[in-house]
Amino acid sequence: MKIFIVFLAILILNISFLTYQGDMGRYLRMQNTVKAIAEECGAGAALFFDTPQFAEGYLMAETDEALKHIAYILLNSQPIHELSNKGTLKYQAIFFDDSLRSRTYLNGILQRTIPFTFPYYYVDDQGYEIIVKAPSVVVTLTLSTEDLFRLPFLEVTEISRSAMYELKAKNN
Amino acid sequence: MKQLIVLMAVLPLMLIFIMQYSFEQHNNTNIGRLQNYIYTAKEQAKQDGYFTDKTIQTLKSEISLTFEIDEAEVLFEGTTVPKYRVNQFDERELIYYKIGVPISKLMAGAKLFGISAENNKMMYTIENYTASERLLE
Repeated sequence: MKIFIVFLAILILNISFLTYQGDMGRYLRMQNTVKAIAEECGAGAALFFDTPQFAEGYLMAETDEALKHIAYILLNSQPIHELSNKGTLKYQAIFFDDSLRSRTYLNGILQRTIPFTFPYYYVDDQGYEIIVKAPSVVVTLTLSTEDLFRLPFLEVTEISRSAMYELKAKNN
Repeated sequence: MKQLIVLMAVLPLMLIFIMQYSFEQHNNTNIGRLQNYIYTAKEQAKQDGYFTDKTIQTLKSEISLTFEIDEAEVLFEGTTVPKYRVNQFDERELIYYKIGVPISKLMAGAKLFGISAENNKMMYTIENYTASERLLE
């Protein structure tokens, strides 16, 4: 009986560890994927700027075009789109440009406009700090889904990753 | 004698766990590398405006070496004609890519559990679009 109990304990321990290892691997992969897609959204969004203003020496973001790009990427990225169907996917895009008014969009809707000057000390919702020295786009993706860990004492239901794309203009 | 018989029965089961840890670790490391290879290829494609033969060949060769599979087994679908940077969003000027790699040996001791080789593998696929940074000449 003693041997059987020890065997059972080792078996449960092994199964728990295997489950944890598998879930942790999937969690890390998802984090990498979300980060890569956030970078793609940021890098693509930063390509759109007002060309007549640029000719005058100012880099002004074309937010409408940038938001179209972000929405398209999020709709067509696998496995993110598939995962977002099981939960929710929110995106926040912040534009810092030579208008010196940062614009924050949540899921494509303007949330706030804040005046600033370069260099600007920016702290995001997760508490990450960065100094914005040039026109930039910051994209934060937050994926909320079912519990990513099957073990009862671990619960992670959200992955949030940010990416910042900076465009250094000559007048900065 | 009784304990020896029990040990003989339990030992293969315990060995499966050890093998499974190794498989999981191996697969996770390889998938991490795959994500890096795809990221590098995508960045190159952004500069070139499309996936050149050289980029595709490098990608396939790296994946083939890491996963120890034939290059023909790597799934690649993507933009192979130049796309250009535009000032207004146009989905026709985005670079598309879909890269898949077969991952075999998902589970250790598959034969013992009656899992066929067909069911013991999966296709890990990454599909996305990226904006071209190639300028019109």
